[in-house]
Amino acid sequence: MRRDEEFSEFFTSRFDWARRTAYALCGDWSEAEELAQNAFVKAYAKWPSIRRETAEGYVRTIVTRGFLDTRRRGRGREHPVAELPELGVGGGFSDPDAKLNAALQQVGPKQRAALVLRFVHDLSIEQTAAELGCSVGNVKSQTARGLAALREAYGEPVNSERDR
Amino acid sequence: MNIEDELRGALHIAAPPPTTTLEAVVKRGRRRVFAQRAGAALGVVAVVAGIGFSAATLNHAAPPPQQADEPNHGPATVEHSLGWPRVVTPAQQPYGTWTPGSSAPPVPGRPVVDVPMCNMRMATQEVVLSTEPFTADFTARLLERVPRELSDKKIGNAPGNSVLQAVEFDITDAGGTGSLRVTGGRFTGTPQAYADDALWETGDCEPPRRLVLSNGTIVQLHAVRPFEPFQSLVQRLSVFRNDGLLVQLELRNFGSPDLAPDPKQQGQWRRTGAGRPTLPLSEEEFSRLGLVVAATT
Repeated sequence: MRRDEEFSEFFTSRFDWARRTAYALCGDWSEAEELAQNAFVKAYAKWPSIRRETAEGYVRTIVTRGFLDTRRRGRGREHPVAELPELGVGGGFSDPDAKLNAALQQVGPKQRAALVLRFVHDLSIEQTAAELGCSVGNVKSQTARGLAALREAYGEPVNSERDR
Repeated sequence: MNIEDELRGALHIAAPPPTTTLEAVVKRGRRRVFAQRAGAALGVVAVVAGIGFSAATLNHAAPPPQQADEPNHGPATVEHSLGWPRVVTPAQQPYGTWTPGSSAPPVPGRPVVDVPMCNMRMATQEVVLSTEPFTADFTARLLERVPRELSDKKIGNAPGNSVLQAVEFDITDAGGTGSLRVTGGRFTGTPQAYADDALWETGDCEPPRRLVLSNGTIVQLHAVRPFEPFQSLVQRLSVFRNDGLLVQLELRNFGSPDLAPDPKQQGQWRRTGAGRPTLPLSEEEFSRLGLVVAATT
């Protein structure tokens, strides 16, 4: 079936990318897996109407909005496990990646989403506004506040592109 | 260190292997597609059912359809619930609609009926109508059966009318008093031939409704027709019996309370009242009465 073949190719090439995006947003690999999986399930259902060149953006939008929805509902994330894992699924706070992730989690969800879309995915302000479903002005303010909060959370002096 | 550069490298970090498989995503995706299609199908079914229910409800609540060329009798006319078929023949072309005369218009507050007017075409066979063809027994049975058939009405012999000219009844209910005039005559030929000959005598536009009984007797019901004065209403039902007797019933919206002796002509009566706004019988009641008369010997 051509639909499944095309989707399989897309899933293989982009699922990990979507999962990492989700992780940048939520800071939890398990939740990131779930957000990414939900996004791909929705993409599969809509696959005949999704153009291949826009599929990435479609999945990214679902991941981002899914993340914001969970935070907007204020629902505490549950981690139902039968047994405690022997190993953690992510790196410890000692490595640089973990430090950035920890700092990102100190930023508000909407600001975090704006930062991830603007800098991690290098989207324009307009593209970010479209994916978040808000105004350009809102993206600008969320980004500025998010950067300030991130610097503060990072805990050591950092430069900004605006400082150069 | 630049914080934006740090962010740009956020995707390129060590990560645990994904646990989600393509099979799991496709399986969930197919379930989602199925659910969407099932929901859409249920929605369509619900809409169709809703439309069907609404149509049935509205059809039930709506008045029965009326042909465009059929007169709109408004509140002044009887019900059109009779199931008798119309005679299969082309309708007459109206020359206009009813317009009351200025000398004796309808009473104030009574709307002018919207009735198309067509030419009266007299039957080629001339039949004189009176009570002469009626036997004494027939008249007696008529006087007995009409009140019995219309037991929910107050039936009285209309004063001032001689049974030599017509047998007349006042018919009174909550809507006022109307009357029934019964006359008879003799025709030659078959009931079918004479009924066809007399098809347009009352100036109908649509062919009259007709019932052919098993013994060959024909009962023919014509449309309500307004006439002067006061926008009076009359409806004719003719019984063409298989023994050559024509019994003609005319239902009118006025009765003896609307008549007074004519001072200018001894023994004559003149109209003084407009009568009731509607005929005193429904079409169903009138046609039922016609069948009783058809069976009276």
